[in-house]
Amino acid sequence: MAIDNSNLLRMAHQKMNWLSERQSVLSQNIANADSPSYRAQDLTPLDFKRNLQQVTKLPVAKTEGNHISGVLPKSDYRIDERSQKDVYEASPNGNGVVLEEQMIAVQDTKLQYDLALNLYNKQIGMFRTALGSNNR
Amino acid sequence: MDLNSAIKISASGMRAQGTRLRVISENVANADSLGSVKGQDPYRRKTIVFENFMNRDVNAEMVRVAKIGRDDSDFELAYEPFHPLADEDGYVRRPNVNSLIEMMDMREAQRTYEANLSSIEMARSMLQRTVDLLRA
Repeated sequence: MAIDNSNLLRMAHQKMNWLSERQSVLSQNIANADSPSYRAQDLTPLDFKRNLQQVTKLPVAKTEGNHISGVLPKSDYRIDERSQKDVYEASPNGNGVVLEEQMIAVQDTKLQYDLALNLYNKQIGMFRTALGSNNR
Repeated sequence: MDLNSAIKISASGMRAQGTRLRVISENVANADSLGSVKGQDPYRRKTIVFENFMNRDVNAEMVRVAKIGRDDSDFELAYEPFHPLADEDGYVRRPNVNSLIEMMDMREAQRTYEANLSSIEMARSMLQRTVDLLRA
């Protein structure tokens, strides 16, 4: 059994991928906290089943010097369309980012990331115990 | 790589807020700048507009300064008949800078800057903890 095949490790890996993608979306919201008519975005919740079947995507090839690089969907993670409409506070310039809300989401992302990371670490530790190495 | 792009996005937000603070400082510093000769306009308040744009390298929406414009509202009039720049009716035109507005703008810039900074801190500590996996 390869280590990579362990379902728990793969799930932790997927979760961490999703969380770092989310962190990047939240950073985008915070950076655009004063851009006119910008609306805060968020990712749809992680769907483990779909993500475990995910295949690797390839970028669009650049065959000429003046081609621009295609935007590669990094993952299956989608922006939640619903969250963009349901805004209860918008400033006069149309910006719908509530900083406090975003900070809480960032904190939450960090906590969940730590959780997934610790689970990953524990699992690796169990492998180590099984291998019987003395350095732990 | 996503956490790295999160850091880059937040950095673009911080840069934009830095420029905003510069414009605010210009306004506050020139709050008493009158024209040098009679009939010349005093300092006109500057405004700043942000916009979100798609950065293809980072594959995310970053923020940048769209334009630094001028506030076309009326100048303030002060009744100082013996001032060298006073017109026939004894009025001196003063810059349309309202220090209350500038201070409020400054607080807002500071708040967004800090939010960006803590977002960077979060992403950094998430990265750091992942790298720490190697040490275990």
